[in-house]
Amino acid sequence: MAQSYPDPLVRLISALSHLPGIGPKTAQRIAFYLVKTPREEVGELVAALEGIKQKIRFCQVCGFYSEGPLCTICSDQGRDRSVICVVEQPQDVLAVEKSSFRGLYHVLHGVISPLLGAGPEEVALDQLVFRVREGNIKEVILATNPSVDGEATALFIARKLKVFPVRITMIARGLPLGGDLEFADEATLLQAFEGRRELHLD
Amino acid sequence: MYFREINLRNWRNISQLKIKLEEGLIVITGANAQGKSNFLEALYLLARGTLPRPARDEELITWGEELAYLSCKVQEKVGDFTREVIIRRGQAKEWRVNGRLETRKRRIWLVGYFPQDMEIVEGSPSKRRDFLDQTIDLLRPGWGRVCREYGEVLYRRNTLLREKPHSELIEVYTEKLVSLGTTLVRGRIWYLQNLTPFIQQFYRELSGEEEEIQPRYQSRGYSLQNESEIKDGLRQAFREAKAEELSRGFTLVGPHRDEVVFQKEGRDLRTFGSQGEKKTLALSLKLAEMNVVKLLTGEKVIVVLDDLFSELDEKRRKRLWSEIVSQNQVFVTTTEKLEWEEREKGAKVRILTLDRGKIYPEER
Repeated sequence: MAQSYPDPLVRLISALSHLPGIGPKTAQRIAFYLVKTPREEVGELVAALEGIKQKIRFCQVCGFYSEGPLCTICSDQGRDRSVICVVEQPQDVLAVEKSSFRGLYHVLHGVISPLLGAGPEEVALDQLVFRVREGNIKEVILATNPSVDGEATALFIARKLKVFPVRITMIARGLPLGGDLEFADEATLLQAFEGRRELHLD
Repeated sequence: MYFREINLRNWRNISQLKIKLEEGLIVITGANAQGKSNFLEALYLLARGTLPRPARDEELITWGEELAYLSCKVQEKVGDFTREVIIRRGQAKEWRVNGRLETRKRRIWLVGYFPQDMEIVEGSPSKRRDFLDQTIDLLRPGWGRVCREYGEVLYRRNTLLREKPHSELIEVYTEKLVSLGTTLVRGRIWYLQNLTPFIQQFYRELSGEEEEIQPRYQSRGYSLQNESEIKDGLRQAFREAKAEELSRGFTLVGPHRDEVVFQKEGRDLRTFGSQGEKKTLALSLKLAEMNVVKLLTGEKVIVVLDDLFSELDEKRRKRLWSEIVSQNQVFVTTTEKLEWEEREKGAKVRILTLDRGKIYPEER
């Protein structure tokens, strides 16, 4: 009979290979590494894993990561509470935070994708409609990815929100700053021209 | 614009081929199955980014080899550039210009006629739509993106209709199809209008007949009465087709189902044309394409004619020759020894021989 690894090791490899981006080979490599790792270091990893399960949840209002019922952004009274920026994933919040945007967010936790069988019920849309209906929201900025699914999701949300007296905008698509016009691909250039705007010289 | 140098490695049955070229007529002779068509297909791929007939990448690489490499040096009005394409099994083709990855396609104006182009006349409507779309893609930057995006939206809409007919969500994709579809239909009609006088002229001259060919863009399920109303027409057609689309589970109207009809005295040549009429039409379409490209870009084009001259009679050959001789660089293949009387008239003629995948710079 062919020899296999001891059960605890097999179990670890199997658990690791369920993680995104990790195949059986990488899972094995991590497992072998952990076998040789000092107990304290593994303890730290276990504590970190337990920590996220015990302490991290999603903000009840916007869906971003939080430690309490509300995330730090939603409980920050210094922010502009009349603007909501809609993004696909929690990590997109940090990306938008690098801009000067200081309003609130709404995380969809996905995107409408007929090919993956993900309909409107798969994204956190009802909460967004609820927020727009209840709160004093003046503008909703749609910042989904510039993919076919991202665009369709944005259009769908726009249709859902058009009954409310809010301004609905979409972030611009086009040339990256510091990029070179000469090396931009055609699709990007075309988008940039479609989205061109008036220069206001005061 | 013309090819100054061609370099092929492991391309189908050509293991290695390197040749310097000039303007003028280049006749490639050789028996059957020596690689003449493969050589022309390589030129076509290098210039236009697609093959004249679809093939899987594995079929393009010489059997038993890891990758195929094609490159060409192209002389422009001012200056030159080198384009390379590397084809590996199971990977996307790698395009380079002057050694760098190519993000924005440099245009190489090339028009080709291959025996399988009869399919444009005889084949399914998609062949005729592709005939339009592929050349519009050369002429209008961004056309390829519109076609691709239309296809992606269509695929999603069909999936929804089939699996999860969420009415409000389908509306979103319908609107997208309407706006992308309007761009598609407008572009195709614009290009067909440019082609039409040339198609009619060449057909008349090649056939020696008086009757005119009438090309017509035929919309599927929506009105094309007024070009400015395409958008409303499409929108209305989608509204009307909705119930049937839901029951049948796919998108029934739109430019992905449109057709181009070529009529002669009210007769559709696809169905009722003779072999001779179809062949003359296919050739007229390609010559018209060549002229529209020249007209709209102001550039002389490279012409590639696979196995054509030997099939034409003396009169048609002369007419065809007078048409292409004014172009920069013309490649023709032939199995027979042809009398190139044009050589005496001062035209630059070079004869190459392909033998078992190797090229020889003289007649054999």
